[in-house]
Amino acid sequence: MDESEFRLRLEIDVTVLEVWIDQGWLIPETTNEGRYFRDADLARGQLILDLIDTMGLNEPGVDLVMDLVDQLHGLRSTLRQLTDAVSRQSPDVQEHILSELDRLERQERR
Amino acid sequence: MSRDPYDILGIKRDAPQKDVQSAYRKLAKKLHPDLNPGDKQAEEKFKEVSAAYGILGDEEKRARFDRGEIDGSGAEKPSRNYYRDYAANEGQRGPYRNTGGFADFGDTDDILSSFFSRRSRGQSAMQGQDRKYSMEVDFLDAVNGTKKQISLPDGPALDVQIPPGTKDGQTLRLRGKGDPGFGNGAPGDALIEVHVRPHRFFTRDGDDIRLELPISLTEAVLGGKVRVPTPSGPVTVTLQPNSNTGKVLRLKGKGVPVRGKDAGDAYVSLKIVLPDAPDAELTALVSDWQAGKTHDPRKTMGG
Repeated sequence: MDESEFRLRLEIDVTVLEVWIDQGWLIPETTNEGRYFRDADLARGQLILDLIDTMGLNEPGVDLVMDLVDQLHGLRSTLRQLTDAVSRQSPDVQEHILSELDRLERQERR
Repeated sequence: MSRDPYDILGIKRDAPQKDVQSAYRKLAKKLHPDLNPGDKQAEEKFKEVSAAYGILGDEEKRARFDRGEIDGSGAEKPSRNYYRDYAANEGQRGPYRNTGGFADFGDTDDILSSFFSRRSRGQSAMQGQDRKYSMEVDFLDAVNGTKKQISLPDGPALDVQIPPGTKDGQTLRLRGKGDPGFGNGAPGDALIEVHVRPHRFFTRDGDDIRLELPISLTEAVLGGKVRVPTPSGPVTVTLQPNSNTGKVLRLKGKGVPVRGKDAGDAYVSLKIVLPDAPDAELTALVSDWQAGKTHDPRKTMGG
């Protein structure tokens, strides 16, 4: 969607959007006709609004949360790939990995 | 939703309104689906809490609920998509990719660590380099904002939007106008340092504008309307009679426009200016002016 639709759907001012983009919370695609926003950007914008309006976070707070959210998703997708890769191994390899994980967990609890 | 909204928010029925908000904020932080991407129940609970707050957060609705006029089910909002539903695809590529959570996993030299280090270095996609430029703009263009084109020695001309209130030395970032990226990587940014040329009579003081306004002796003594230039165009100001040099007038909102708040002010400092050539009539007038001979403006300086 274009910039005006994006702002309309989130009911935000142009100055608010500029701050979000300046801060790097949103990275819309830049095309010849202006900025282009994906559905993922819209959902992200809703999250930013929730952080500000619902939870009362200020700008540095939102900055911190968005950075951690992005790190978290980076971790999650890498972890998912790893578990997918493990699940494609033969049962005895999976068994090996599982028992090693168990051993590590027991070790850490001590 | 049938549960009591007071139970959902965990507050007493006589809790003051601001406790309702803080209870809601506390729960919202804990339950927001985007802050709990792996917890499927978080969304349901978050909805429940939001609906409860929809009633109790509004004093009028709360009173109606207390009187039993409405039940605990608020009108459901249209369903929304949470960012976490998209984020699975953002993790490895996409603009929000962030590998800070495991950047150090690739430091050892076993086989698996290369799996992490490849991701954290992002070999398949690397963002292009930023490019630095500098440009000069006129004082008023920087204050009021404008569109400029800069031509680059090694590339196409670049349209630069100078936002209103741009300061001297400020850097503008044009996303994606730097060097191209590698692979699927995004291009770098163009960083443009803006140098603001000084103005003939305006000076900038933070968000305020200062200027010295020459006035004639007649205007100073009798007062009256004078035109005052401001960055957004001239305005008419009424001088009080007996307006002295050094008197400062504040023109509210006539300073630098500031994004997201009120514009700064213009401060006009008056300066009485005599005619360039001596004037016989004025000389005669002042010679006859008795009080002028006893008026000592340097009285406070001693000596």
